[in-house]
Amino acid sequence: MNQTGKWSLVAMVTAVAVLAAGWFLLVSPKRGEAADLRSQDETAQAANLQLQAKLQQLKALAPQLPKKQAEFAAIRKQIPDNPALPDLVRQLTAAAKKAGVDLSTIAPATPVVVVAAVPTAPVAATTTSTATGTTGTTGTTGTTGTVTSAPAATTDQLLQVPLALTVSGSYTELSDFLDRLESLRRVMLVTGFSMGSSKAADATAGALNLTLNGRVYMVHSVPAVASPVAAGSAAPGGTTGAATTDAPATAGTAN
Amino acid sequence: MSTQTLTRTASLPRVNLLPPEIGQARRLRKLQVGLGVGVLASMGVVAALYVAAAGDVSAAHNGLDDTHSKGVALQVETVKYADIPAAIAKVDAAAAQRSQAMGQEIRWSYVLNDLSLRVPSKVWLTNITVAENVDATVTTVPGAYPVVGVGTVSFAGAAYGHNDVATWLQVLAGEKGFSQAYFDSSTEDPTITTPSGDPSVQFTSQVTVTADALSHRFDPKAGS
Repeated sequence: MNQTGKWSLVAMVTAVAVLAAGWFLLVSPKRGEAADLRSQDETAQAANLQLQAKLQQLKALAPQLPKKQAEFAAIRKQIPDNPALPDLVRQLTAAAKKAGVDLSTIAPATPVVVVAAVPTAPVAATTTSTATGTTGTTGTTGTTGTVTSAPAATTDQLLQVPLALTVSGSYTELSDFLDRLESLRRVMLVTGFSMGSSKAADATAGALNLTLNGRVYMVHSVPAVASPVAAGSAAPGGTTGAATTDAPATAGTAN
Repeated sequence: MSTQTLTRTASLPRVNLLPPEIGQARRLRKLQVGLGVGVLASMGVVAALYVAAAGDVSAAHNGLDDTHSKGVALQVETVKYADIPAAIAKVDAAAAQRSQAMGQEIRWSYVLNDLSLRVPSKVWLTNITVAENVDATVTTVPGAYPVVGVGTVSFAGAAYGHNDVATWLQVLAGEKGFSQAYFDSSTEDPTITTPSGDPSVQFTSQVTVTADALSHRFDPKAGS
C-alpha cells in the first residue's frame, strides 16, 4: 500500500471514529435526555388534563352549592342533630291548637339507634385524587343495631325518638291533626294509632280519643372509630322524658 | 514581425523539469489537506448533531416546566373548589338518611279522609286501630295469599245489617293501598236498633295495608 492509500485509510478510520464517538458519547445521550423529558411532559400533560376535567366538574358543581346547603339546612330542621324536644313540643302543641284538638299527652322515649352509621365525607385536602364522597345508606329502616366503623372522620348516626301522643277531638279534627303531624317542620313517622271513644257521652258528642305512636328522628355525629353504641343508649345534648300534661286517655270501643 | 514570434513560441516543446519526488509530495500534501478537511467535516457533523440534540433537550425542558407550572396553577384553582364534593356528599348522605327514616311513611290523614267519604251511610265506625310494621323488611311473594303488607288496620263498628257489613268490606277493598279486607264477626246487637226498629249488627273487620299506601315523599329523586 502506498502513502496515499495509507493516509486515506487513516483519515477514513478517523472520520468514522469521530462520527461514532460523537454519536454515542454526545448526541445519543442528549437525544435520550430529550426523549425522557418529552415523556415526562406527556405524563404531566395527561395529569393536567385530568386535573382540568376535574376542575371543570367542580366548577359545574359550584352553582349547586348554595342550593345544596339550603337543602342540608332544611334536612337538619327535619332531622336535627339533637333531640330538640322543646321545639318538638311547641310544634305539636301548635298543630293541636290549629286542628282544634286537645293534646293531653306527649311522651317521648329515649332515642335509640336506627341504622348503621352513614359516613360523612371529610373535607377534601388533596386536589389530585378523585373526589371523596359518601355513598347512600344501606340497611333496614328501624333496625336497631350497632355502629359500624367507616373510614371517615365522623359518621352521622341516625337515631329515632319514639313518641306517644294522646289527643281528643272529633273525627275531622283528629284527621286534620294527623295531617298537620305529617306536615311538621320536623319529620314524624306515624307507626300506629287507635281512635275511638271511651265513654258513651263522648260518643254522643262526637268526641274521640286518639292514642298515637310515632317517631321523630335525630342524628348524632360520632368518631368513625368509636366504640359501638348500644341500642337504647341515651342521646347526648338533651334530656328525654315524658312531658305529660294530663293523664292519657284510653281509647276504647263505643257502644 | 509579431506574428512570426507567436508562431515560434507556440511551437516550442513543453518540458517538465520538476523532479517526480517533489510532485508526488505535493499530491500527498493535497490529499492530506483533503483528508484533514474530511475529518474536520465529520467533527462538524457531530457538533451540529450535538447542538441540535441540545436544542431538543432545552425545548423539552421548557415544555416540561411550562406543563408543570400549568399543573400547579390548576391545583391551586382546584383547591378553591375542594370542599364542594364533600358538601354535596354530606347533603346526599343526609337526604339518604331521611329517606330511610321516612321510607315507610303512610299519609294516614289521607286514609282517614278517604274513609270518611267512603263509609256507607248505614255503617258507622266506633274504633280504628292502625299498626304499621315499620321495622321489618317486607318480602312479598307474587301470588301468595295472604298478602304480606306493611301494616294492618282494624275497625270496629256497627251497621244496619249484615249486608251493610258486606258493603263496608267492598268499600275497604276499593281503597288504594288496602288489601284483603276481612271481618272477624258480625253480630246482631238488640240493644242498639236501627231507625226501623230492627237490631243493628256489631262488627269487627280488618284490612292489610300494602306498600301501595306508602307516600314516597322522601324517596331520593332521580338526578338529585
